[in-house]
Amino acid sequence: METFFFGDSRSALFGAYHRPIGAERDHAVLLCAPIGQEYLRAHWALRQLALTLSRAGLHVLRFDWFGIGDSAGETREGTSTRWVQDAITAADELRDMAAVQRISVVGLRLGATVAAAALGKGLRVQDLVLWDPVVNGAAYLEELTRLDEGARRDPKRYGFSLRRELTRPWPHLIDGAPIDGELLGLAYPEAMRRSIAELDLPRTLEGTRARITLACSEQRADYDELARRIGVPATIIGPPGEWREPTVIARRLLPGAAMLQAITHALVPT
Amino acid sequence: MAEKVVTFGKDRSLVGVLSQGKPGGDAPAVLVLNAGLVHRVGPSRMNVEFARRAEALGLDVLRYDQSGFGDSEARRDERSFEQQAVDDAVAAMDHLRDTRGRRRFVLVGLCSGAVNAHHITAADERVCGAVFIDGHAYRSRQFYVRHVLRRALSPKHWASLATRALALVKPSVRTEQQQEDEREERDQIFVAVTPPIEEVSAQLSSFAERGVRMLHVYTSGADTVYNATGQFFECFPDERLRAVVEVARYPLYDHTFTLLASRRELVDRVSTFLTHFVP
Repeated sequence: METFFFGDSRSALFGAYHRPIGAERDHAVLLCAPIGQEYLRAHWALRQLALTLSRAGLHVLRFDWFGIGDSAGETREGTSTRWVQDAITAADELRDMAAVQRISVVGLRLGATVAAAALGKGLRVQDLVLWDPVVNGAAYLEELTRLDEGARRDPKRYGFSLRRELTRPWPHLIDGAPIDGELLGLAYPEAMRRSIAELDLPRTLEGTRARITLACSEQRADYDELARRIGVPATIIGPPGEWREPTVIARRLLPGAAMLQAITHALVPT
Repeated sequence: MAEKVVTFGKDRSLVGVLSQGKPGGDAPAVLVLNAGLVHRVGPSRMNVEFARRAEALGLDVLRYDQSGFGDSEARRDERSFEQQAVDDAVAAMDHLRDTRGRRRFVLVGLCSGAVNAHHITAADERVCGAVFIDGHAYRSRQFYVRHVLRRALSPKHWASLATRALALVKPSVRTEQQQEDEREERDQIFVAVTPPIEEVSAQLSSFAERGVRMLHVYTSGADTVYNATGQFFECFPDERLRAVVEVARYPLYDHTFTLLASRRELVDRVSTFLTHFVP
């Protein structure tokens, strides 16, 4: 694995490139990570996926979006418009490093949605694997808002404090108003929210020529609706990601070998 | 921002990001350690915030993944988790000595990172400062007095007592606390073994003798063992510690400083501490 910064030096992105292990294929895969707390949950899972794909002979690049992880920028500076450009920059970097003709993308959560948006902005891919994708940006923000409210009222988050106990229904009396539109402790200022709210995966995918795979860790109405609208069946492979569960927002995502194999199989049919 | 990715250690299997402060000079470099299972960026990207603030002070800062964490390779040998953490930190210090001319180091660690920071400080005399966030803590006699007084004022505590009393009469009723204990046991991943207080006390005294400056931070996450700012000195009365130890307690903040306002306060506090090391 090679780790490095790439792109414009003033807004460099962190990347981790996994060379193929064994017989090399003329095919490279870009992994697009989630944002926010989901990014932290998913880091280990995406590394495991990268290792699995590289063992199947694929070139793989993982990277951090601008303002997220090790990449340049403050969290509050990110927008989906900016991240779409990051996906294109990362795909160019991968194409240069791997010297291959074919590029595919695996996107997890909002990473899938942003990658799909990049298809309409010049990103050319053979396969697009949507792993537990965020189907609609506005609904996603509402979901995060509910999680944030749940986390703020979660009595297990804090140790004993009489002040907290007596003000539990009104946590803002102690914590103050959210800063920068924060959700789950990370900034989501207005520009970022507007740009995320504009994302609509089924609409984005209309007319795409990429081959699409929909890999979901649990059954959800929004995944079913997405599958219906894009005409691709949703493959359900547990254990569930539990993305809507407030008690697991900081818990490492453990996707299981079946999910990693299913994604590999989608990219490298046997 | 002047950051670059570095690889170091045996087979260059350890990965970190170096924030490059002012070159040259005698200032120590800062090592930011993994917190729990989170990779080197830290909970809510806290380690990146630490690193960039310290870099702005002119210090070199390396946030890295220890063996088997984040992007660093796992070592396949018999060494304990604790020994690996020490060996990896020694490799990080050697790397910064060879590439940046750094001879002294300050550690920043939260949770398991704080415990590791303690081991590393004990193992390597190049460490001249450390920030321990929810690290080792011991109950003092005064702790129990404060604990009882505070619980006596808590309606939730009295409700819990009533439920427990009911469970005694009707054993089929599992108390909320019992259910919570079962959940915690099931979810537990990292189990820190607390060493005897005499051992930690002797080590802290040796740190003071070496002139190691320390900032001990405690949150509400340590509430079951630490409930007053001055408790550190109740447990460790060695007078020499008062000259080198600062204590900050945040009883209203969670263990990982999730909310932005709390994290800003912590990053400010750690940055202020780090100014001790700026020439």
